[in-house]
Amino acid sequence: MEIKLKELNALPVRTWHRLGVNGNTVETSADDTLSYSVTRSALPDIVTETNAEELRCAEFRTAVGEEATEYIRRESNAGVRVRARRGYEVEKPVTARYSLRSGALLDDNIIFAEAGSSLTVVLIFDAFNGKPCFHGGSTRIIAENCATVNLIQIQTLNNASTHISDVSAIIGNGASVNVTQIELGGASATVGCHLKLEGNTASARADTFYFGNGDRRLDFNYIARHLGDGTTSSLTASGALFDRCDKTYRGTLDFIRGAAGSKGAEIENTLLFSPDARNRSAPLILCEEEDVEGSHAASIGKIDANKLYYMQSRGLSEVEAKRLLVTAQLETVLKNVPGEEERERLRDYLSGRIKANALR
Amino acid sequence: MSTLLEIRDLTVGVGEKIILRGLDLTINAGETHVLMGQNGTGKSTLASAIMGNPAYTVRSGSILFEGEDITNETADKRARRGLFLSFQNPEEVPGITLENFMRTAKSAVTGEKPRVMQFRKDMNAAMDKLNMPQGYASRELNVGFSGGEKKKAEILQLLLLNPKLAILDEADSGLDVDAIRIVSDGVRRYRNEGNALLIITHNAKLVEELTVDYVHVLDQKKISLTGSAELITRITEGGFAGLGDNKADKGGASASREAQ
Repeated sequence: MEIKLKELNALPVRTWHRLGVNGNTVETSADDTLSYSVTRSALPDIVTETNAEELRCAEFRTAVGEEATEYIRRESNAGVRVRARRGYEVEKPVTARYSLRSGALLDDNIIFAEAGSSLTVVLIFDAFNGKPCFHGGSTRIIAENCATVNLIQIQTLNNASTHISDVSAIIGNGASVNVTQIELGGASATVGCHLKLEGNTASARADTFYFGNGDRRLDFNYIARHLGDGTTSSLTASGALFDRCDKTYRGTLDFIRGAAGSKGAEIENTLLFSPDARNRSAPLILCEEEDVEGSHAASIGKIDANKLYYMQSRGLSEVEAKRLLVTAQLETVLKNVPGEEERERLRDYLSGRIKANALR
Repeated sequence: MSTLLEIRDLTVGVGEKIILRGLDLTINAGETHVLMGQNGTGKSTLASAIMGNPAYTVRSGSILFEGEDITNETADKRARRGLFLSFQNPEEVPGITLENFMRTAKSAVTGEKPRVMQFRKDMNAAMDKLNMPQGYASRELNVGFSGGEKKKAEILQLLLLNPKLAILDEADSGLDVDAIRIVSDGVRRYRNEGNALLIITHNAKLVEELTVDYVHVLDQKKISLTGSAELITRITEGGFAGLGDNKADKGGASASREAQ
């Protein structure tokens, strides 16, 4: 099957075309036959299945784009659709681990946290072999008043696969949504996250780690839309680029009139290990409201020479020091990943990917 | 007494600027040396050159460690030989815990992976001696540490890595009186007959509990005067200006021998 999706990850306010950050197109193909296995954790009693009908009144916005999300939802062949009951804190995470063999996996996920509940969902996308696969995911989140949702998405597809993921959240009064995305694989990854801070004092975090080598193409679009009073958001993306990897990051803090006392921060840390790697960043702060604080900080470049020397002075070779620094970036997001076994798998996976020759 | 460090006619620069010229220094096992000098005379440059900081260029001369020329070696190779530098301004490294970093460093300098439980036990014991709460082990390396905490973390690394020659570059700057005592105590615990110290300091407090063998004064791009511990008192009381013409007369390792 041929898949062509246009206007993905569109920058909320378009800029010069020549900068190449306005949007992205994905054109790929996959086997007609979908073959995969999935391991899902059993749902606790206080979590029930839900469906798209229950979202009909909610106005979600997409970061990846309407065309892609409509396609994924229309053609969906998998998904986690869960609803946490009012006031219950669900301790055990709801986990789905997909291992793809061939074809296109399209998962339409819904996470509904009723008022005062809390829920953690872990979605893992892996591949069995080197065959090109396609994964398209749409995850819609509703966090009602004072609810907490933690979403952890881990992507370790093979180097021939294509990955698209859209996360869209609506966050109520005093509620919080924390999205962690770990993007380690795929030939191409297009990842978008729209966090709509609708209620007063709502909060949202998006923590991302990526690893790009070879000819991998990474494309990110994060949007925090502040509507309620006293809302807070934090968008952090860290990663390392090697070889000829091409990465684009868009981060938008959008303060709508009335979002008084709101604060948003976006931070980007990119380590560049190759002169041929390409990094593009488009941080955007939109303000209709005067009483807000929006900040952006970026550190993009080679590893700091002083840090490297400090680590070498303790006996670490240049390669070991660099490996430790990249791993350190991963560790900052691994804190959000439940389960030592999965954390160890990711450490090993990254370690295997960081070949000594890639660090020279 | 075996010679650990031998610096011969060393000239060091940054870019076009020469900071040290024709410097000689010899440090044997079992010795404690103190390096003093006015601000900007090149004390930290000497420490950096010995450790192999790539920001500094050795224009001529040589650095020998245990008889082998290390002038062109990278810092990690020097560290694995047994050289250690306690930094004046230690770097912050987010994402790496102090414990993880120390374990990786220990493995790098010894060539063996330390056993987790034993290493943790040793680390906790060393932290207790330095009056450091054990929670510091799981904090990110130097991130958010106060100036004093960073200096203690450097001494902790000194104790755990147990190098043959440790250079302390103003290990006492920014420390209160109690913290200086703790750091000084840590340094004393490290010292034995088989290793050596080169202490760069402006403060007599740090070294008053140590047996100092030689005191060197750095001036005019080289060691201009070498004497015994008594020189620290003279400098503390009368400043560098009070040293008068002596500075011009003596210099280098040979002068050390005469002074003793």
